[in-house]
Amino acid sequence: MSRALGLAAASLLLLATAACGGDSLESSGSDNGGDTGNADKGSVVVGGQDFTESQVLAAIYAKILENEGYSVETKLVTTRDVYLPELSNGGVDIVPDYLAGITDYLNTEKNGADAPLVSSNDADATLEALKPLAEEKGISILPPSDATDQNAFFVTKEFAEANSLTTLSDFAGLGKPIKLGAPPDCEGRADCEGGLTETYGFTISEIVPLDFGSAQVKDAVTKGEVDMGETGTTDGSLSGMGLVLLEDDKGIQPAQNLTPAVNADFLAANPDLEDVFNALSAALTTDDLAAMNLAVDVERQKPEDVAAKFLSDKGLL
Amino acid sequence: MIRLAGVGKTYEDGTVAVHELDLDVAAGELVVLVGPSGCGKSTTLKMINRLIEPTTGHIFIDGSDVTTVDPVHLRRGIGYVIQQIGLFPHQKILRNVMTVPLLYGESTATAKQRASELMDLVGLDPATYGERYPHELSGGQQQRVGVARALAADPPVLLMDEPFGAVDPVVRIRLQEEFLRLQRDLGKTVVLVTHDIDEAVKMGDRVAVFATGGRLAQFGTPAELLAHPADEFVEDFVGATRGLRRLTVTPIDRDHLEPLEGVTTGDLGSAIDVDATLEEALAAMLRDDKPVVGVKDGSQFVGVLTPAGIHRQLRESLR
Amino acid sequence: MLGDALAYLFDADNWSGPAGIGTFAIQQLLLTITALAAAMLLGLPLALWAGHRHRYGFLAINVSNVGRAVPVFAVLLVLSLGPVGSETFGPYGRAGLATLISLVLFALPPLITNAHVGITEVDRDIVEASRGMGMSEGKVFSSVELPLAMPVIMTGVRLALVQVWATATIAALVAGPGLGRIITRGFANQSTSVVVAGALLVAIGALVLEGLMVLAERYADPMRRARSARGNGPTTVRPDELLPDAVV
Repeated sequence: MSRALGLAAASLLLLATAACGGDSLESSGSDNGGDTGNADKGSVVVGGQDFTESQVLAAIYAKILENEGYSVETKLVTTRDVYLPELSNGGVDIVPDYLAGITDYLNTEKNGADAPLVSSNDADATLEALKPLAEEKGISILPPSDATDQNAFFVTKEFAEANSLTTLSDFAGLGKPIKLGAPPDCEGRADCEGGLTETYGFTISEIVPLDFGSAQVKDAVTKGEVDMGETGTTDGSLSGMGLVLLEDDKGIQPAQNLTPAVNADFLAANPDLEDVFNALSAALTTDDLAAMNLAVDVERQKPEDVAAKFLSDKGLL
Repeated sequence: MIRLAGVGKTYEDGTVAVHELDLDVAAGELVVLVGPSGCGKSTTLKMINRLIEPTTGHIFIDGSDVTTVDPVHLRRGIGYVIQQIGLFPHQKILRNVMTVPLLYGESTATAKQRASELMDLVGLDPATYGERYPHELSGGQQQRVGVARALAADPPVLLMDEPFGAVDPVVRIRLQEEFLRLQRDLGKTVVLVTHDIDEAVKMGDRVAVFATGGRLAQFGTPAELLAHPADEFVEDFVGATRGLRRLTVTPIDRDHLEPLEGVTTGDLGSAIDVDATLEEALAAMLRDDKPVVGVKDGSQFVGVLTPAGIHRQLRESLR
Repeated sequence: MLGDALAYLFDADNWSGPAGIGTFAIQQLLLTITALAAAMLLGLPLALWAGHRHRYGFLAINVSNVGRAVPVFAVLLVLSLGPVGSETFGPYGRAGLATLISLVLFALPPLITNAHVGITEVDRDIVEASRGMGMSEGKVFSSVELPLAMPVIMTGVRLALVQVWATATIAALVAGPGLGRIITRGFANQSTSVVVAGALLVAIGALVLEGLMVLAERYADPMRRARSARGNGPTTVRPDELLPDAVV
């Protein structure tokens, strides 16, 4: 009798913990159960990837659309090459994407892996190159936000203040050789070692292979093992750790502005959405992204809650 | 030679393995400890070489109290043979036999010489068997090596724990007889443990019967045990056939044989020697299907025995 | 893709230089051997002693079960970001000490379990006989228990060696040395063939080490000669041998 009871209790416990699994239900091309009811405008499928920032943005898009009276389904997948074909054929209606990212993707898809880059630090030029590529695939591109998530380099706040540094040029101007903490592919890349040495004139004595934005690279910079590390512009943890980004004043990073990519047919059928999303793009800043990422990654808040708070703070709902 | 004074073993949880007992073994004597499972006979044996430490009493070997000396040193001077033999499988036979002399620090040459002698003594040719490994030998052969190994350092005392238990009955008899001969030749003091009353009666100069629970029930010669069991336990243990067994341990009394007059050669079958036991006399009678058996001393007939005569002699031996 | 990986491996240029396959392989070997040696020094004496005393068996056996569940990389990360730090530790590279500690912890379970089981499984009768004939505890251990337990102990060493070699690959994740660097480089450059090449190197290394250890085990087994000795079987009685003379 007590054995059966114990077994039942154990099973219950197991089910409960499984249910508390949180947002780990994404898989390639499968539903995320983000369904809502009460729609009179029809249904929308919001796409995206399963890293924190994308989850938050997808949640923001979903709430805006619900607010407009749509019933929303969210599909989060692993990589761009999974959701982009869906965006073309209408399986997915709208995706928060990154300007240079989607441009490079469509460019190499059309012109081959070794095709010369059409993206650059210039957002407008990149957008111009993107539009025809996207149209060919049945994708409409809405105006990009000023908020960007691109690679950036950071140093300790102490070091920046001591030498009055705000930009990478300032640092390069010091003329000392530096040790860099960056992923193993940094060497030669225009947005990494290549750009730093050729465009900025840095002398890099050693690249210590530490992952992009990882706890390890931040630790290495803090301890002084390396002088500079690589992370993203929306990394919200920096100020709390006494680290600070240096501005890419000479523009070696391609423009990765947050850009809504919409299925052309869907947009044609719902033209009012353009204004709605323009309002969102105008309100969104890089700092907002950083703060929201921090809330999810460090404070363990849910993307939906973070999205709702952002929207109400900005008065967009 | 060996004296146990008030020796007993009680375990921490209160189990009494051996009640305090007194036992003595004379030099050159073969004493058998016999009893059913769990009677404490093995425990008693192992207290002599302190593989198990006694909780009460003292043990004297050749007059010195060995209860408190270094047990390792003590054991080197005592031969130890166990049922499962325990030869070292990764060493050759000769090397196995050389173990204790080498422990004493003897040179390899001396130890080798000694080991070869002992192998001859137990009936194994060192040239043939010395270079083999234990697994290549039969059970009986391995136990011979076990005995040789135990005797290698010429210890005065030999302890044996069911030494012939792991071999088949035919081999066992062979080994028992050869060991008895060996012991008589070498004059070793031996304490042997067995659960087999027949083995005890056959091998022992004196036999100690242990009852379940570690109690020494009786200690005496085989004849005494069989003729006068001390209590119900011993009586049960020696069994209802103790009369028959007594025949095996009672020698023929040459002074009380029946006369030869009136006996024809047709009445007789094979003859037996006057030094034989009553058992051999009866066995001869039954084997030859004759009512009498002739008793000879050398080539000379000294008398005969009939079944009635055997019975009479057995009765007389009680006194 | 396998073809590209093999091409990478067969290109002589990739083997030479400070970032070449040769250097990385030697670094990994150094990490492996140091960690294994340290683990053996740490774990074997304790395990062998406990086995000889026939104690702590439950602990010795279950340390392997627990050890298997520990994620080595997590331990390495915690150590390198925490108390041990990520300083360059001589030839063991960045976070070398943290890496060695993690690998030692990882190597201990198979060493401990096998050493303990090996000693306790030695035939008790043989051990009793050796004690009874007057061997000191030390002699019982060194002359009887240890030689007879050697095959099982060596198997533990072999398991630990191969496991540590394969796992030392993670040193690259803390920017340490070793063949893992080839794999991380491949990942970063999104070059699958390089990743596969790195993995192949680790796998081949593991096989080679395993093979060498098997030979070593065979050589160290004191029963090797005993087993191969066939001799005349115990029950062979030649027809011309008179039964009474046969020694049984």
